[in-house]
Amino acid sequence: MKNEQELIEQCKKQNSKAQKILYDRYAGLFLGICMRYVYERSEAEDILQEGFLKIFTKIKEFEGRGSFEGWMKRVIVNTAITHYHKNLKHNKYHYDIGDVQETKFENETYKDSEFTGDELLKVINSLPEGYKMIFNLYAIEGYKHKEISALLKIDINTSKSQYSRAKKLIRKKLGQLKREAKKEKDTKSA
Amino acid sequence: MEKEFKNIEDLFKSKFEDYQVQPSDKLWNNIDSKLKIRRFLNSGLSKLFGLSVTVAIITLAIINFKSNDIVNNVSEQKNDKKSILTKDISAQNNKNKDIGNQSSNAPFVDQALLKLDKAGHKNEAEREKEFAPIIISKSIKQIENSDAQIQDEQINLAVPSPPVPVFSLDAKDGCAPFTVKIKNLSKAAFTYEWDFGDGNQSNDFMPQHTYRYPGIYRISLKAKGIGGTAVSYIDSVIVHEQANADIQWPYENELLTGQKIQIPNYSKNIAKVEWNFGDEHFSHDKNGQHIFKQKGEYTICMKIWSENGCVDSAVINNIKVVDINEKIVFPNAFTPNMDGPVSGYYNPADVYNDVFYPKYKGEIEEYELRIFSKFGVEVFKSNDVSYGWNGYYHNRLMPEDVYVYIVHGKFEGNQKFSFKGDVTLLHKNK
Repeated sequence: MKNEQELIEQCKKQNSKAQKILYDRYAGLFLGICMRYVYERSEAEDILQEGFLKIFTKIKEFEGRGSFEGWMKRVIVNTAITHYHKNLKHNKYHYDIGDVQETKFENETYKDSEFTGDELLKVINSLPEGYKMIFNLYAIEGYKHKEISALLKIDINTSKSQYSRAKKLIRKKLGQLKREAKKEKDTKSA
Repeated sequence: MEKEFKNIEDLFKSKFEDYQVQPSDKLWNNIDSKLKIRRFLNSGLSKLFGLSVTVAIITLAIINFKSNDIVNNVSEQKNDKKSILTKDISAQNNKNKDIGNQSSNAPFVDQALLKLDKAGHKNEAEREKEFAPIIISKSIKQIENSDAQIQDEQINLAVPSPPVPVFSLDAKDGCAPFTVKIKNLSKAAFTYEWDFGDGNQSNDFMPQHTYRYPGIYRISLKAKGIGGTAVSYIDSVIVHEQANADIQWPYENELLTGQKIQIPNYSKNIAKVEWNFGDEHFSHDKNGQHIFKQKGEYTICMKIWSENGCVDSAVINNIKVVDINEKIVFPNAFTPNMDGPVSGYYNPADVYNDVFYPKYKGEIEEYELRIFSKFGVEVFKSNDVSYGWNGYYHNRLMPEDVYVYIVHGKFEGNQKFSFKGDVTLLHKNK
């Protein structure tokens, strides 16, 4: 069952072994996605579990058009969005979303080696909940603002403006990270 | 080659394209066992099982409610039903051997439907169309498709164990509004009915609930599984009354340095109080008492704990404390009129500086100014801030010298002041 097509077929038949293989192949990657939406690991694993259950029950609906991995990712992301709405309902998130002060960033570039994935994960998770959702969906998942506004049940302009504020916040935080790294380097060399 | 990005989108996309976090080991087991239960619930076997139960219920209903003239008939049905159930179970047990053998299943289904027919008033043609082919073909199809391992699981589950409702709470007591998070550890169950003991229910797998009012509550969980229904509960979830910090700021104006302030505390059932006056001074008295020594702007914060450890706090912001000389100030010299005493009732608009009096802000309610010569003679006294010293004592001009004054009084809002200073009396050149 090495080949993906065969694996999908077997999973459609609810073959337990095939399901395990699929899980092993993607669980790490998908938990990486979930962690961008909820930083607490046990919560992220809840989403992952729910997501995989959806994948296995809805796999019959996958028609083979487009990438299978992309389809699964969408299921996982949708599960995370459902989770977000649930928490909103429970008033779990109390974030003041005020205006973010604009700082000047002239020709700032970011090197891949400057940041680790874990650092960027923390940056994302330090954002107010609403910003985080929009940034994840737009910048990383590549959804359009129109889709995001439908998924999060917000106005399209809200999505756009919050996205630009999220970006400003992130730039600021990346700048801080850079400075901290530089400081550390300096003290080490000194 | 080093990747460099101008857009943060590109940075994040590249970083998270392949970002992985390893899930904990038990996660797959959770998913797997849920999948197994779903598989079982969706399988033809469970439908068959469900049908036979339905038949039994319907038959029992007939026994209980049909009129006397068909009692004999019914008792026959009852016997039939027993045999059906026996057949049903034997059919299940024999499935491994009897895969796809339609004739072994058919009589059972047929008879079962006969009973349904009597109860549900359906004609034979209709019921054949509706039920028989679907059930038989589905059960066979299921058996053909599944591999041996899954069948074993199904057979095991077919002798269902009763559900075990078990749950734990993240905390058993707290302050209103108290949110309790429930961890569901139940086994062999697939629907859950929670009762939070305050009139609220939930069917979530792992609900959380917020108690608004103080009290003692019982959370009970009714879990339903294939093996039946079971209930468990946790007693005495205690929701304490929230502490309620209630203080009143009695001052309308800015404070003076050195002024003793008292803030009454009306909070109820307090076990512990902490005042933080914002100038690194703390107190644990019920009422806030403090003297600010430095001028500035302060925030006073009071925190209270109830006996049950519930916390509340109150904050007074923007307390302005000024020095007394910002409110009342005396000149350090004055020049009396050389040609005879002028009235002590001065005109603040005058520029002659021939009366010694203070400049002040606000309303002065009490006032006493006394001035002494260096020999200790009281040369002037006034209880009226609008009446100053003209430099004369018993109608005689006092010599050029330094005189000491003592003043005390009270601004409105009980701002008392009391200080002394000196003033130089100068004679104007003629």
